[in-house]
Amino acid sequence: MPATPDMRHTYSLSDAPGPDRDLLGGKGAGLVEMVSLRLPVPPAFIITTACGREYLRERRLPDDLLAELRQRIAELEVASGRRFGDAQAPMLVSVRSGAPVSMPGMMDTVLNVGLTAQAVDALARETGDEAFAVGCWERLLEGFATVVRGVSRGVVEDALMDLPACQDAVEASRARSAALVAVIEAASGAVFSEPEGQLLEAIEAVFASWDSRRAKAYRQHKGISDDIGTAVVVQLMVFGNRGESSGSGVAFTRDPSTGTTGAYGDFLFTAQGEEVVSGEHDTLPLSALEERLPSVAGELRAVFSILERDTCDLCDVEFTVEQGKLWILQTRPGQRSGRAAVRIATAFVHEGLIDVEEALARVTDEQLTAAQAPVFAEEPPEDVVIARGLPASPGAAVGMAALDPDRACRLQEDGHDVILVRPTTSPADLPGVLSAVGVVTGRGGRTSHAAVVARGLGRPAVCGVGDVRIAPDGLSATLGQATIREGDELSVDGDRGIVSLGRWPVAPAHDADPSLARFLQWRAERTAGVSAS
Amino acid sequence: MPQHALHEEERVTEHEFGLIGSGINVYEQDDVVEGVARWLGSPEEVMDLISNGEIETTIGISRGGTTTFMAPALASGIAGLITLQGAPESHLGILSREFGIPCVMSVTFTEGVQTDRGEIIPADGTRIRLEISDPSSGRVLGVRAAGPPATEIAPDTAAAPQTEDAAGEPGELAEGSDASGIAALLARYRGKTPPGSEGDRVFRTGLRTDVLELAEDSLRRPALTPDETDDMIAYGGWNVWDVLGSRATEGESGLIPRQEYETIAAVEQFNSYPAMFELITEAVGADGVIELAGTARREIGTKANMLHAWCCCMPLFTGRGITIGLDYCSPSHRADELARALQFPRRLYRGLWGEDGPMFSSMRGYQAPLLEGSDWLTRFRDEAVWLDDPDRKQFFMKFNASTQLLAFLLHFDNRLGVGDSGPYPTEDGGFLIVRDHFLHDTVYHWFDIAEGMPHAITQAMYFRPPAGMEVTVNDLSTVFTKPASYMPHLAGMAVYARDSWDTPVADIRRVEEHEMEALTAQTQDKTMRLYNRIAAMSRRDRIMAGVQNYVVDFLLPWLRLAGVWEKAVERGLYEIAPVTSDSYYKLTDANLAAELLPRVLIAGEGFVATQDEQVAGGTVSVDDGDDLLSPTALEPHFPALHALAMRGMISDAPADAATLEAAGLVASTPSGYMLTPRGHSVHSELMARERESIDSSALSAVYERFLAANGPMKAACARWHAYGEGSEAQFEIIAELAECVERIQPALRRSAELIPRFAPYIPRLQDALAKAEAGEHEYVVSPRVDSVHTVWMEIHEDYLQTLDRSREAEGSY
Repeated sequence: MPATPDMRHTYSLSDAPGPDRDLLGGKGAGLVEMVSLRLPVPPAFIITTACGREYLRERRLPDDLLAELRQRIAELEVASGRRFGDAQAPMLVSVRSGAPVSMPGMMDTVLNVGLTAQAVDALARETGDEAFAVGCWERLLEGFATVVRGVSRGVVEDALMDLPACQDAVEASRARSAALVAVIEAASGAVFSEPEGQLLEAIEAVFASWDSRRAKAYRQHKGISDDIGTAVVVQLMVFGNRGESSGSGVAFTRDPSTGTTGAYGDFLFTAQGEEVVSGEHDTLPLSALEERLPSVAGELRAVFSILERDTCDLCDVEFTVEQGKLWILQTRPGQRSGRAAVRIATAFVHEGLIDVEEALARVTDEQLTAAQAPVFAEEPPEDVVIARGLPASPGAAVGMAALDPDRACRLQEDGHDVILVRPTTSPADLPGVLSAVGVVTGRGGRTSHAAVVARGLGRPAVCGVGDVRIAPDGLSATLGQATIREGDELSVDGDRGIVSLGRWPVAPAHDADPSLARFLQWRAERTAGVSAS
Repeated sequence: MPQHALHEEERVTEHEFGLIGSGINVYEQDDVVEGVARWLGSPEEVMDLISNGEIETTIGISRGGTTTFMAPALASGIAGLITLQGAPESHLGILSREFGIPCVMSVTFTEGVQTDRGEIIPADGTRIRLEISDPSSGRVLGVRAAGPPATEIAPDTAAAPQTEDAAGEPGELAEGSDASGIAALLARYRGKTPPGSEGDRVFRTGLRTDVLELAEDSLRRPALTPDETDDMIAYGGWNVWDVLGSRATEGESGLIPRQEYETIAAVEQFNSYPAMFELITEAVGADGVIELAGTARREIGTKANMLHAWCCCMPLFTGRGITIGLDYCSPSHRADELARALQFPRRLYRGLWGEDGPMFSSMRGYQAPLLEGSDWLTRFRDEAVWLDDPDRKQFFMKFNASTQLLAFLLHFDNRLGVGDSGPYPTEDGGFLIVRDHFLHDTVYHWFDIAEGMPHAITQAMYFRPPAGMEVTVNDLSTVFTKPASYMPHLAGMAVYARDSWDTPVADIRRVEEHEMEALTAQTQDKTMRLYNRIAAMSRRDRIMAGVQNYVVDFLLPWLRLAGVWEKAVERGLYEIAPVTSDSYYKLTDANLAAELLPRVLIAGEGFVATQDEQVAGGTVSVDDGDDLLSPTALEPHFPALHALAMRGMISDAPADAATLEAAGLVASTPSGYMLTPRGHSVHSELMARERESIDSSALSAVYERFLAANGPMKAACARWHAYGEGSEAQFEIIAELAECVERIQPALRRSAELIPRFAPYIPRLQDALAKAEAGEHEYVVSPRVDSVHTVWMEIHEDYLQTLDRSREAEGSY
């Protein structure tokens, strides 16, 4: 039921009647829930699924929606102290889809709605960061062209590739933006809208995308009704790239690969969220935030604690710090490795958050199998550790070093277990990765080809150990201070991110991990109980 | 058309057979041979086929063209043979003619199923026919299923678009790729000198000395001059190419690693033979050495034959070439020793001919009637059995084939166990070939299996050939005819046995037909037992046994006749030098060998002069061979090389695989094809050339748009494994990938306009995405298939290499 008689189609995060997924969609309900937990969420309002369904019936937005939107925008303006459509201090919003069930294939997000050509320069002056301002503009235009106006990627990309080469990044971005405006107007036969028009068009596009080919196919596959429709979330944009006390991060309330208690995550100062997850940048651990912005870090810890207690689960949190102010953008149950799933489930039992039955239900058979992969019994002594890096793919591997993919294949054919050590990986390394029992790379993080491939093959991998230099004869290499030769015995600990010399003893996982032992015991007891009754 | 027609023989009618492959015909006959296809990939499979009793209705398909691997199948009367590699001059080609078993070699199939290496072959159980009436080309017909061919390889997928200009028609590889340097290298030595007598004439006009003309006075000198040495090396290069070049494409043996042991043995021979030659020469003197080889003109059943004389010459060159190629020594190393050592084979050859004159058979029109003038020819004539009765002829042919097979197998698939001399013209217009099969000796431990067999069986074989048949006996003591099939023209035969190597000539006895029958049976039994024993040996044991056979046997007759056998054994005849041991690991590395041997032995690089190249003269200039392996000549192969460079390994054979392997650019491994180090460097050179001709600034601009989508794509892939199979998140990720794929298509289209090879990436990405969207989730990131991630990674790599950028500089890993 709408909060006020004249508010038929929308709710703000604070006046919504509880986290009602059917009405507010999954994303909207999540935000409402976060607000009810007093988490710092950027102000937003939600256009209901009922409105979405009405749109799908009538193929036009309800006549009385506009007035409501204006009022909701005004509320956001009060909260932000900025004005939507202002040429000097513009307020920007994102427009996102949010169906009651996750709906891949629907239009996802249009960012930076409300920006105009004039406001870009003002934003640049205001932030002192022209690249940031033109980047926001280009972002809006790109999303607007393809997802709102439905200009084909081909037309957009062709226009962008026709531009003359330009060394200056800001100038290049401006040129692309101008080209995008031209494309938008030429391809759709309508001028690029002013802020309010942008908003309405974006909302309409979200509603309409319910019927996109991919979304329909997904619903058919999953047996989801076509009649549910989607909600729309309109949220104040916050920026992690506004100066040195800004930044973006992705964090887990516990380590999602090991299950170790304590928050775990990646952070980048002066960056937007997608830069953190792209894998193209060397991110910092959360401790960096602790050093530079201790009060924000403290607030973040409190958020993690609230979330875990509320959800009784591992949470994955996206957040942005804008000029020293923490904003939580999204939280969801965190994906975790098999080992982490077991450890977290047992830890939650001990912390009294869940019971044994629930713990057993939370670990899938796949995760349990993965958790039982052998591990190194203990950390190797420091004097044999030759490299540390990202534990990119879990497990323990022992074998002889090979420094090029051909040699790895040969050694494997001769019956050896091979550890492939490479500076980076290219497609030509793939045969070597396939032949190896473990992989070590010098450069690259979780998104590197090596990491993706190793996880897919279930091969333990340590990535990003630093400089790996292969000698011209391909028979020896330096890893930092250490020198290894082809044929050297190496142990690769994909759980700890450690590469060491020698063959270190591998133990069954339940010997090294009391949590797993306990979990297996619970499981055995329950099975026995079930069969006894 | 019913699919099950395949299984119901009675329903197979003429019109259901269709052409499924063609190759080189080895055995010409008018009748079509029909049988059931069976892939033979290992000795176990060969043995299995024999024991299941269906061999006489089976047409076996094997990879290589070596004899011994197929030995039991040949001996058991397999209906027909098909090989994927190999040439008619190979042992298997020879043996199939001896056995009268139809055989088509180097067949390329157009439909069928894939082997573990991606070669296409008819499925086991397919009824196939061999049409072998055309002397050069053999056709394989198969019962075709209605509907689409069984193969999943469509001509337009994967690397196929790149093959159009790279290779000719199936089975015509060598002729079809005239543009390539390798084909030229196989057709003409160093791309210049033809094979045969014509080649001999051309090549010799370029020499500066008459070292190849054997004259008494020059044979008494202790050593050759440097120019003479280099002339012999140069001619040796052509001669080796001439007799062995065609065998370069013989293919591999499923049983015996021949190339490995031959090359390792050559290293040892270059190392140890000069001292062994000195040992013999010290014992009998220069004239005595000439006299040793005179045995070949007086006796039968002796290994003191032309092959063994040649074997005291060529390993010095091939072993030297490999030793240089492996960087163990320089061309001038041990030149003095070589100049002395080469006198030894010269003296032997002088003894063979019994007169001054040209040294090699290749210089004498490939005629080696060594026994001409001896009493033997009369005796053969008197004692020959005439084979007008077809059954009797069949019996004699089978005897010949069975004993030859055992001789091959005892000698680890090399020719040391067989020796032909002739042709000796006969009065009726035909010819005689005198052939020894060596079936027993005491010097190799595995010969215990042949205990009780005569040391040698000699067959005087009379032929009545059709008009115009050319008969030659090359320096390997091997007869070849044109047309190739001569056994059907066998008209008469006399058979002898020499029980031990030193059985006096007077005691060499005629073998009657009842003994032949017993010998045939014993031979088959022993062949089978030896085959099983070799199959049970480790690879290293097989290689080292082959090395021993080569190293010992080349010298064996000469050491024995000179009376220094024991002394030679004392001096380490059975030992191998450290350098040989070391070379084992290099020469058994398929990659390294594939790179080295064609260059050294086929392109002739190994036959470099001992002196300064300037002095060595024009004919021996090292560069000629290299030109044919130059980037320009290799350009037609760029697409195949590039595909291998991008993907590291490809399980399906590239269209020009045989050519690229022969050139040492590509190596095949059990898991697939990959570039050799030389292949990589040739590829880099070709990339650099390409860069000169493309608009790289235009490509850079396009690449920027690829990079814009690269981050989101990789982030999506990185999340893939975190989620359970079938989860919503996986659908989300696939949707994100779809977006990324859509985003880069314009960039790919533009790239393809600039560089056509980018075009196939678009359908490959779309195929991968379509499969991922259809629920085949391995097509998201699995490196085992052409997944979205695999193709994307390849595209990125292609851009990086085409634009000569590094991952490090760009920061994308």
